[in-house]
Amino acid sequence: MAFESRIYPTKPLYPQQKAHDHSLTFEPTVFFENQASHSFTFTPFLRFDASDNERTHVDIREAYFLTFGDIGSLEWEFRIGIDQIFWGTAESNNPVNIINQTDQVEHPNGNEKLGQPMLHGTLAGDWGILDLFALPFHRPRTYPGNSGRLRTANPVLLADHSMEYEDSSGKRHVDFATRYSHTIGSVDFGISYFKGTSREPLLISSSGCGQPLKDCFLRQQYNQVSQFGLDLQFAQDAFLGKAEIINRKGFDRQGPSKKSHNAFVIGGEYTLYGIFDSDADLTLFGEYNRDGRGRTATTSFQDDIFLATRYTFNDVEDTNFTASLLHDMDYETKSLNLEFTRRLNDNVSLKVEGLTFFDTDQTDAATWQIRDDDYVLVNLSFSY
Amino acid sequence: MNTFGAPDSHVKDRWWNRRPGILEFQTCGSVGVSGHRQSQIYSVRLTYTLLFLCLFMLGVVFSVQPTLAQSAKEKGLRIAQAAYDVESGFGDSTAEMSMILRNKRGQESRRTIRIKTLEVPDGGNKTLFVFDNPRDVKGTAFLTHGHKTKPDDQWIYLPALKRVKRISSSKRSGSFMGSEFSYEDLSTPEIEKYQYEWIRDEPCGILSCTVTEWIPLESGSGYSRLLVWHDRNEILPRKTEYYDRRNAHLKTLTHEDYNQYLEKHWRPGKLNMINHVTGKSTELNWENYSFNTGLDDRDFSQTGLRRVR
Repeated sequence: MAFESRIYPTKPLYPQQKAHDHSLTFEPTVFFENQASHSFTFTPFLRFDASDNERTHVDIREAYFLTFGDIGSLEWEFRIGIDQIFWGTAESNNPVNIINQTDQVEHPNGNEKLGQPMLHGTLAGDWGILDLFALPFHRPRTYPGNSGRLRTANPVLLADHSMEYEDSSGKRHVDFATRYSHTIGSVDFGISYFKGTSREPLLISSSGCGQPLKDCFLRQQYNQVSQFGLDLQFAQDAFLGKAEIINRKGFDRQGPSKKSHNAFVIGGEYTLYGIFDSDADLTLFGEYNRDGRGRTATTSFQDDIFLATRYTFNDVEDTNFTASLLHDMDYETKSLNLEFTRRLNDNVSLKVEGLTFFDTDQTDAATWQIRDDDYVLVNLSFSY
Repeated sequence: MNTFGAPDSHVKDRWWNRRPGILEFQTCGSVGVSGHRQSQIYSVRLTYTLLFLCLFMLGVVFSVQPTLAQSAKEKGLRIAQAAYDVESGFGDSTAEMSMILRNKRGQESRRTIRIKTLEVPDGGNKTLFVFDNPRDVKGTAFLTHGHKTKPDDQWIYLPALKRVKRISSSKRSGSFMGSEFSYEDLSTPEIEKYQYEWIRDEPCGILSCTVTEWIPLESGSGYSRLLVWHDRNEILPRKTEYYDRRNAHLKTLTHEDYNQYLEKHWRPGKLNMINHVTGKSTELNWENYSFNTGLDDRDFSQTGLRRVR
């Protein structure tokens, strides 16, 4: 359970927006195990937000049954239900991570995901791990409502009937995904493939936009995509190298498209252990994001440098301070995030975060719309 | 209770002590005394003869010095090998550990961790640590695949993100969860990762101990050397002194309350690490040891890590 407040020092850009939001979240986990090899995990999630109706939402993050065993030297697992799967190695952006939809109202970095219904089988042996997924329902992305900050200039329509699906079976299209992963020496890598409904929507303006006295909205359009992905991480002394590369086809800014494009993020982190003769560690991060489509890319990571530093105190309270800068090289737009976390006692943790945008440019619509949504966040979380 | 207390304090003559090793220097030290006891006539000549003899012997001693040093190293290695042999052969084990962190003012903070270990006879051991407390890190797991000569592979599983992240091998020297133990201190030592030298035998409490020096060979180690006290009876570690890179005495670890399981495996009930520089200490209390629990490689794989609760 957590209390969270975000204060926006700058006057909102759009009249309905508030100067602050306060919310309360619950995320309990229930775990049953009848034998060592059968279990059920249930993790509902609820956020109540006092300012934004769309941010007030309920989701089932996990609700799956797991069974596993082995045949000879082959290990197998089977999961059925709602689950969260993370693929990737980078810090700033995870292009290969495609199984779960982004819960965008949670945080502008998009790292929080919605639960995804799935059948998930795993085979593993000395040769590596093979995961197979059938994903029978599509979850549309969440977006802040009219009164929420960090939203598009024209609000995104969220009603089920406003969604546009390229495939005639709509959100019932069964997606397929697979990933082979293995560790060789000090390198972990994964090769993945996804075919199905895109998690990333194309936001298209409702008809009549731009005409006087007509409200303008954005509709979410979900196209069919296929994506190959490669992710890897390796350790060499105090350096951790990371890379993610995708090749995707399915849509561009105009709609469905057969043309494929590549995108990647590459970088790493270097840690200075026991810096200044203390117990503390200082980690330096550097990553470069590139999308082959350049300025016509549908994501904002088309030519972006990510630089960050984390000071880990290695104390009893697990105190951490992180500063990260994302610099868009095409538009010169920058965002700076400062985060401080500390455990107050066995059950209570504190997080203080600040996010600010600067050098925003009208031609970079993604950040231009949220340029005045700098905020300070305070989160007190209670775990039992 | 005595730090070095053990159920059986009978001291046997261990095989490594039966080898000829250190020469006695008594003869040369008593030259002057023996000279005075001789008559005046012979005394000068005798003294010269003895001096000459003594110099000759010293020459012999110095010329055989490398051989002697070698044998102290050999003896150190034999003790270390015997100590490893005592700790091996368990197959697999599980245990629970409560970690009590104390600062200079005596304030305490507690963590609870479940530990699974798999012995890999020809390679390094595999270990899995799962946190139960503090609650905000519940379910966080550390997986280590130990190696005999190259750096260990280590991963952390973050349950909130469902993410497996590799930990760089240099983290070995860093503090484990804010405690006085580093990752290095908690990993299973491998015989190939140190150079050994026997230092001396001495009593430790009611027991008799042998002291060996361990010099880490890995560049990522936080120590210049370790001094390890093993009791000569069961060859169990009783005390370890850690010397930092500048050879200053940094920490002392005591191993207490040994119990024998399945009539063969000795395990300590309590480990206490004191940091002499900061005045902080960390106590590990081990409970519910069990052996031959049927663990295998799969419990220590990446899929196993994803199943951790």
